[in-house]
Amino acid sequence: MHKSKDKAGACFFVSFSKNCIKSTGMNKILLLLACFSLLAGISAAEAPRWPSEVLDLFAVLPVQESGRVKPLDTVARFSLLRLNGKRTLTLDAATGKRSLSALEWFLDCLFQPEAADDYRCFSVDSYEAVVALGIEPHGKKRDRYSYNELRPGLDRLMTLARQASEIPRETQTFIDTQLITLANNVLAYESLTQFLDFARASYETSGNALLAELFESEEPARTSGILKQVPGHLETVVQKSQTLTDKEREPLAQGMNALFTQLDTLTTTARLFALFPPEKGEEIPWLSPADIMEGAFDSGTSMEIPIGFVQAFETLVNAPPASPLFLDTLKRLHTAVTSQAAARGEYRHVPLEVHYYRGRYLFFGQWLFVLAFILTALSWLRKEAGRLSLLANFSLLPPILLLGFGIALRCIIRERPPVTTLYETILFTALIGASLGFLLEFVVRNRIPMSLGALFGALGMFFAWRYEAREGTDTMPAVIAVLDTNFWLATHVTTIIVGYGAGLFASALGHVHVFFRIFPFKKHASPFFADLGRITYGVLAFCLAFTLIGTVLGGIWAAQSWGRFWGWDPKENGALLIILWALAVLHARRGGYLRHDSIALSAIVLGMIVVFAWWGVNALGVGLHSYGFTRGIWGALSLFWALEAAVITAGGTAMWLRRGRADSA
Amino acid sequence: MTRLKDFIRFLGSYGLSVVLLLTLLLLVFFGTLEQTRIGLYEAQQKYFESFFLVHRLFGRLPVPLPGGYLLLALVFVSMLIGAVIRAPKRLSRPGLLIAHTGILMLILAGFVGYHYSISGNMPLYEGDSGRSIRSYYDWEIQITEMDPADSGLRFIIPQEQFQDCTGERTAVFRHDSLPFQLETGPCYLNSVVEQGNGPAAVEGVILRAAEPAQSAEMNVPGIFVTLSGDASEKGLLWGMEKAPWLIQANGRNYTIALKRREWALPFILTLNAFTHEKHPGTELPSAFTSRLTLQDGDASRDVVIRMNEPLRHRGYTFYQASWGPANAQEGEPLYSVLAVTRNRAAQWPLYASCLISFGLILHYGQVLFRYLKRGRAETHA
Repeated sequence: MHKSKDKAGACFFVSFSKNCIKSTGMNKILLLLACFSLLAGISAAEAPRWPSEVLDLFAVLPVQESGRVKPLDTVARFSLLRLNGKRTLTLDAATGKRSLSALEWFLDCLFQPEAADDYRCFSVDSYEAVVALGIEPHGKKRDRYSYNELRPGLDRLMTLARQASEIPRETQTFIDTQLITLANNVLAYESLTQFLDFARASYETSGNALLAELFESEEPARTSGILKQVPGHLETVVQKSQTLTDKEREPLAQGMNALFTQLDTLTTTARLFALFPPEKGEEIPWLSPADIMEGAFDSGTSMEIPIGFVQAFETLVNAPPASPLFLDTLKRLHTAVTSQAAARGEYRHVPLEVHYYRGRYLFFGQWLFVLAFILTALSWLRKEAGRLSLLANFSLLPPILLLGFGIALRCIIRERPPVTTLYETILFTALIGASLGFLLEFVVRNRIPMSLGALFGALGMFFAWRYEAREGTDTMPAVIAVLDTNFWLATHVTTIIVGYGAGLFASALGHVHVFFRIFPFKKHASPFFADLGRITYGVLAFCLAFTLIGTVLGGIWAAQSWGRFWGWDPKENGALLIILWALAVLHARRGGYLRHDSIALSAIVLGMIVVFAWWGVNALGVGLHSYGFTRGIWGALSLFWALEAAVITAGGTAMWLRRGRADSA
Repeated sequence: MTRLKDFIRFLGSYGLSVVLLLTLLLLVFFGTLEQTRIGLYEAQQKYFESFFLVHRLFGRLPVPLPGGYLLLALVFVSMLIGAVIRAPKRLSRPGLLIAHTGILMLILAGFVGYHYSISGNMPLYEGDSGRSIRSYYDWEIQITEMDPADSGLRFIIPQEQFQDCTGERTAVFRHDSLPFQLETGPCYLNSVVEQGNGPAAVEGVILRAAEPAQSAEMNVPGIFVTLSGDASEKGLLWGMEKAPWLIQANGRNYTIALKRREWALPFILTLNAFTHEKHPGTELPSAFTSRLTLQDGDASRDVVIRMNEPLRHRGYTFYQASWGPANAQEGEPLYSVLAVTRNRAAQWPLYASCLISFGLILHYGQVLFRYLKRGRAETHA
């Protein structure tokens, strides 16, 4: 698949020497040392480690991808996450297991693809998909494979994936989706490893009549040299060719054809990332190497600086990662790109985004929630709430603050309110649930809210982590035109999500109520149930207030933006279902039809409706709220609703039986 | 009198409100699921804008249900009686009264909007001027008397007067100023044109009924028409026909066409430029902008309509809705589609939401405050 690599490899040493001398003028000893380290680094499985300074510079190198400027570190993290399901890669190197960061893996893919081809970075959920390719699977059902392991079956993979993608989505089997995903991942990996082919490329000058006229040396030319020399010379060539006979013209035409065929092939692989900010501030799209190559042949565009970027990459691909030449070139490239991006006002948040991911606030938050839950569980060993339970409640504060800080950083980086994507709804719901637990504990002091808050936070963060891994795409994407209004995103979406969080917390309280009714640790007439019923009612009312206000705000946004307050869109209807259920429950309570036990069961139903409104309507795949469509979750949702129905049935039966016994006693 | 009182008490009872809310919940749930099968417009008409309907549970079991229109009307009455008229007017707890008044206002806004608003669109190419709004879903038969000065009479037959002409049913239309009468039927909600023979064929062409489109605005209706009187002809009217049907009667020329329903505007909008931008490197739209000139009588001014930034003028609101053609090549002229509404109750939901929000915050703030106060009192005791 790496067609150009072998060719590049053949002239690797020669061209590297030339670049060294031309670029930096280093002495021969340094050159020999560099060449030695290069040769040592060619071994496929043992690629040289990246110096930390190089990693730091690459991490904050800005890239325009998927509609926004982001650090290369973010691109690397999500590229690996998509393939590997994790943001780190474990290598089974001969020297023992070692772990690669996403950026190290990413740089290996770019600069040392032969080594990266041996990394087991393709996560395959079922070995049946591998067997279908005619490849011997590993022992485990779910395992990771390297590109070189998959290579013999790649043609078969593409054929099978194409056939599978022609099957309607609803009838695709698990293996079909596995094959499609694996094929897409392989293509994405190939795009990555071939991206720098433009910098590796060499152009034979001696056998090419066109290039021989321009390049005196017989050494192969580089892309940057071609871009500098050829465009300005083309007009002369055309004029000259008019004076030539057909026979004289033929070698020139062949040379031209060979050159442009090669350039054309390279532009297809060099379009993956837009790495270079344009000089003119009003031009929004950044330039990919392919844009530079095409722009160089456009007479109206000055490409001197961008061609300098191409030249820098040519030096980088030919220098060993640990060499001073590599570092020096990278520093100059980094300074040039970042200063240009900063002048356009597009670099402000890039270092902060790297800090956000490296800080791992959400990761630590998740485990601190787990710790807080363990502490709350320990507090239950005491009969009465005391100092330990106070400590346990306050143990919720650090993860809440970490999660809040993480969300705040995301707001600063995106210059957006806290919730604009489905992923952010999970984070925010977890924050609301955990905060409700922490605050309600001060009101009722029975250790239930704080325990649920810790559980809510831990499960929410775990779910967010799994969702991110499943999607494998940037969780801070560009916002579509219709959502591009911070005022309504801040008011409508945030308010609705607070309502969702409260609804799920009420449901969690209902579960506790049912648990203690099924397992009689408490007496039937214990005030515990009355307390629990009251706070369930309170949280349910809180959920109603926020969902109602949020829904009405959404209606006003819709009326202001596209002329109708209410359109019976599935997402709107989902929120309306929550409101109607909560209203029915509150009216039934006021009418005396429901008491604490029934409120608890109603709260569980509310949770089921919240999940339908939050995820179920997205899975329907219709309506205007198309930013949040989610596929393949009906199975999980059905299981959830079935389990909840079982809990309600069991709880209702236990309540009925115990009430009967209590009445007869 | 006692019976009337009992009935009023029943209307305002918690029991009825719970039943109504739960029925509405079921209706919304079924209507939402059905959208995947029959599309949003059809589901909206069947479930939310109707008096009664029969829902097929699991596609089979018939379940009769009151429609959204009837249910909302009942909710309105129940709430008005129970939460406003009969509710205790305690100054100490006014939150619920205020919130319920807000919800009543919201339902009323829905009623006024449903009955007295118009909504449609105005597609414009650059340089084009728009003088009317086009309906998304409704069609009409337009009979226009041809006049060199373009001042001939136009007769309109609205969709609701011919849409029921299915099967053998027909409808006849006549007007004193018209020298012919027009009989419509059969009429197809969505149709295709193909070659064929039979009593409803015209010059070897027939209309064939097609399955209703998932998106109702994609339906192309067709009608078989028979003229009698001074003109005796048979013809086919089809929504996608580019040229109207020309006829002569009593020495005068007429055109007959099936068009989307139109409302004339009291001013003219001319599209000067349309731009649509995408986020770099993606197909995600980042902005749509229409730059127009608004000509109202002798006054003229330039206006800009963007996503989330509509134009409001003389009770009409123009929103940037979409653009086309969808598969346009680079450099090909584009058209901008402006959604247009005129709704006298457009701002009512805003006022209602202020009332609801204020009422709920006040009520639950008071509830929380009292709960905390009681808790403190118990602790001190």
